[in-house]
Amino acid sequence: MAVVASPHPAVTLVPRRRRAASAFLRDRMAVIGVGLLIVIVAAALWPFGWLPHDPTWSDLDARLRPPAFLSGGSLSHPLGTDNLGRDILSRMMYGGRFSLFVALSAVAIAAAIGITAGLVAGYRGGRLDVVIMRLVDVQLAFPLLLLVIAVIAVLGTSLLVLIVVLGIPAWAHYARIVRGSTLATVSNTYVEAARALGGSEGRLITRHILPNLATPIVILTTFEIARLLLLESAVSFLGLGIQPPTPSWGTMIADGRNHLYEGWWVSTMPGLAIFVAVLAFNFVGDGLRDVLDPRLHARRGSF
Amino acid sequence: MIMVRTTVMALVVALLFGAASLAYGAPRSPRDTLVVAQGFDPRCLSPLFGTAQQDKNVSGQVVERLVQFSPDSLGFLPELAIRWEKTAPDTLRVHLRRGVRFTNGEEFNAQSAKYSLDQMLASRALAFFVSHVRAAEVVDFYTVDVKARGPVSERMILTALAMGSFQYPPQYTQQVGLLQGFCQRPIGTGPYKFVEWVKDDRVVFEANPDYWGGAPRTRRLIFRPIPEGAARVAALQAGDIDLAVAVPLDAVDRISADPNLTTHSIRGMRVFGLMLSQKWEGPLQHKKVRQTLQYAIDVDGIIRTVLKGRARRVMGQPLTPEYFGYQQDFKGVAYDPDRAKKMLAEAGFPNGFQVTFKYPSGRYPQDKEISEVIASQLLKVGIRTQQVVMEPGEFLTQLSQLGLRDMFFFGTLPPPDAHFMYTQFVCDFRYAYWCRKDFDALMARASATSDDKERLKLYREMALIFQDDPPLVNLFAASDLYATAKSVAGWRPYKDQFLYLAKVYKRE
Amino acid sequence: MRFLVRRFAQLIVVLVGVSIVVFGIVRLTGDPVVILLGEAATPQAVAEMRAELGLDRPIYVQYLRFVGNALRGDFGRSLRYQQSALSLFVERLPATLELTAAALLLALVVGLPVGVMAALRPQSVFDSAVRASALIGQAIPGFYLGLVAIIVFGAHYKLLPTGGRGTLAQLIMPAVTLAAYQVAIVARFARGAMLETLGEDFIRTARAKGLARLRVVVRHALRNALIPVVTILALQFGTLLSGAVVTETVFAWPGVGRLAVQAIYTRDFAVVQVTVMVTAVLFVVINLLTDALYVLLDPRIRVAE
Repeated sequence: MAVVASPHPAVTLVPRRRRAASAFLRDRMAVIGVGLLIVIVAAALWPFGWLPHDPTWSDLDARLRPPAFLSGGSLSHPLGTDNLGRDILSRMMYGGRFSLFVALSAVAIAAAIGITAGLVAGYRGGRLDVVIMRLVDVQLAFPLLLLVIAVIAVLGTSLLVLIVVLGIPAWAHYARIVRGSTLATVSNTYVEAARALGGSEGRLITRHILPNLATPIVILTTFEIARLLLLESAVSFLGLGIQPPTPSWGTMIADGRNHLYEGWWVSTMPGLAIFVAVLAFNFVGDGLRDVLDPRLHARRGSF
Repeated sequence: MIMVRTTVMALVVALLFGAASLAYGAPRSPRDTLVVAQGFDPRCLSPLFGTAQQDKNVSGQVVERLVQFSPDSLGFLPELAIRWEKTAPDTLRVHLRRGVRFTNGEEFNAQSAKYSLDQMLASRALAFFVSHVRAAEVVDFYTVDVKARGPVSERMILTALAMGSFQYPPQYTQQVGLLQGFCQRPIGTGPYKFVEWVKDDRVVFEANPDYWGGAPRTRRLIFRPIPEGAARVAALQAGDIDLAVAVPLDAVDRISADPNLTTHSIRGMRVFGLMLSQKWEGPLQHKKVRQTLQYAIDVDGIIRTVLKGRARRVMGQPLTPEYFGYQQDFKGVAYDPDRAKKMLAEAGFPNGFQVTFKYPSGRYPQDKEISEVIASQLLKVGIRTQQVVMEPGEFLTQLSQLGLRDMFFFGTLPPPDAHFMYTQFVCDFRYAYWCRKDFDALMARASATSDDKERLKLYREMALIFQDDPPLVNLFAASDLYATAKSVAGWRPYKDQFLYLAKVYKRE
Repeated sequence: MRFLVRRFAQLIVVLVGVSIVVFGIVRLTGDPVVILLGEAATPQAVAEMRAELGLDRPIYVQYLRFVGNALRGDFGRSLRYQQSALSLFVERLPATLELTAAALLLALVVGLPVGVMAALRPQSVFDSAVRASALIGQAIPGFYLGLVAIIVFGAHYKLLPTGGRGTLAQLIMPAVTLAAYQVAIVARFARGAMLETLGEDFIRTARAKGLARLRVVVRHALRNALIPVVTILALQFGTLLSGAVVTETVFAWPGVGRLAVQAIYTRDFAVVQVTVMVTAVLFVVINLLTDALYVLLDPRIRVAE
């Protein structure tokens, strides 16, 4: 079912790494991305006690206060308050912790399963390959959101359930891409040569195959993080977000949409948080991709 | 490359052709057409299929009942019946409207009425509301007797008829199946005739020129499902629809400020409460703790802010004044968190306690929002809740399996008679999360009498038990909100949430 | 020919897998009868109906019956709508296909040129702008985008209808909302693939031979770059149905996405099953066509097994 992309030569690791680091730093977007990520992570990990307000404290008489930069806003709630009079900035900072935790853990699960399965399928081939790829097909053919909703409707939305149910289906994407790249690499003459010379399998995989997988995996991962952040939000929209009082960006956007007329900022502010996070992950991802792929910078500027 | 180009070209051409067959242009609602938007598409257009109001609002344009609730739900109005009288303690004689035909030509008479009442009595969905009725008997061509299982008040029989006496044309119904073909293509005596139903898009009706109440002034009637509240309001602002059901409170100020729109608000009868289950070991099994909870929730605050004043507080009994059996003199208690803390300490919980709190998201308007407020208010007196938001279907499933522990937010809209409300609290009721033998005994006596005065007295005693040993915290009854274009005339909301559209028209 | 036979066998394997998963999951989600009859239903009525529907039988018996009926083209009846689940699905499919096709077309027409142009000038201002704006589409929840669009363009400026289906004007907002994510994906993949292809030896050779730049880009590079773009679009098909669930809900669009979600909520098993099964078939077929397209796009490619 997969297509063999044209293989490309692996470059020895050490000089590449140094060159990559400096190339990465020359990429403005990538540097901005790293900066943003640092800010986001710091905000998300900000200690609960130091938040401007208790993110779960509801003050009904302070409902739907606009952000400070709008008329009627005040600096005590810089980004305004939500429909229950809770401080949006505090909820965004605290909620980021759970949104990112869910998205990153889910991606980690998907990557762990998917990369292993893809490597096995691509490297071993044969019947195992067929079985794994059919499982991939089943997974991909299954409409994801329906699966997620059905499972969550019954099991509820604890953090663990969310992580597992969002993460596991994504394994197939990893498996497909890793298998394709593995096949391409394994069929390379130099890998065949290394094999013929009796190099150990582990060494073969870590020295020759994995480095070639870095690029597609990095790109896919930045995609998947963005996708899962949005998927968490879509799940909330359909009525099944993270359990209150825990805030998350996705549920904040989804709950805020019922107040678009009176307080557009309630859903827009956490929406911006997701946007900035996706931006940051992708800038970093693109930057990494550009420097990891040896053929790209060799030719940079040639066109 | 050529291949790709042709593919793309083919796609473009296909789309343009598709586009040409559609008209470009915004479908504003024309003058002779009334477009109504609800949150849901109906499930089946046979009104005995279920009890969901959005279904009955659509099918009710075609299929009529013998009796309807009055606009304020305090009494009854004749629809296909013209009058009625008690002829025995267990019998209500109903005289039918003469000369009425179903739109397929079948005649409406005692025979067809008996057929329809038999369907009502056999209905699975309505059993709860009509189980006190035993049978319908033909007296003469235009008279039927409705027989109860024992002595019963006139009001109880009329309530059953207002809930379920939908009049079906017998021949057609038998031919297509009451819950099969009839779902897709209803035929009745009503002001409108069914034209087509495009699932999840629109149900179209046209005026019935021979309607016994006079042909409607609106030629076409269209029901559209628009699930998102904000989108429903936007559609009204844009002029795509004329009447929006279940308007979100968030948009009320915006609609009021719009010179082309009007809001209609009517005090609703759906009673919301916090059910306190006693099926499980825990603090909620203590009577004192349950009494305390009503001091810990700022119901007036919730009504003033989250509900924008558009709700009535429900006090001392889970009823609104429209319910038969409502006790005028019962007072609620004032929000007093300090007192609640003190009472909790006296009950043996000086440091509060932890309970599970389940609530649905999307089953009732603002259910999640209100429940979150309640949880945060309980926290202020030391009651820590583990919140569980539930998908509405799962909520209903757990409700019926007695799985909603330890407390849950719910709303209930039984027919406006304490009988139907209190039946939900007897020990052998399938969702009984509370059980008192003395309450059951009173209930049995109230069900067995045909004397409304006696019933009132018994319901008072039952309400007193609720005050002493509350199975729930009474919260509020929210108003029902509708909005129409200014041009829409001749319509008013009913407390039972039915939409009567026979006399509605659009002004110039 | 052997290739086709093998692919057909794979299709069957996938379908069996999907059918087991969907059957298991919908049965786990609980009982349709309680939800169907509502809270006022008596236990007796519930038990009778369960027996009528065969829901009281062991699950493997139910599954075998389902497979047996499905093989004869009978996917059961919708409890919610009281009609054949398959015909219900088929009735609604055109709406979703129309929406999806419009979104895919938008994605290609907008995303592809933008991505290619960005790749021609990597690190330029234009490239940065494309990379950033592509992310807007990738980072905004569809329901938020849709609702804001309805309020702004529908209610406030009254430019476009707020929902429903039937006219071209009604298609615009939902299609753009659904396409926002796809445009972003296509632009990014096109950019990435172009960058990669432009570095290949054969492009250098072509350039060295003195071929005009535009010609090189269009005839050689673009053709190669299309492969990953087509792949990702085909894989997105499943995502599109998921996106359609949200978009269709916001715009009251009568497609299969809404049908499926409501079927899950009402535990309308037959409808969930038929939706998932047919979607799976479509997915497999589309990906089969994609593989065929590769060979046409690039004769050097061998389809590997």
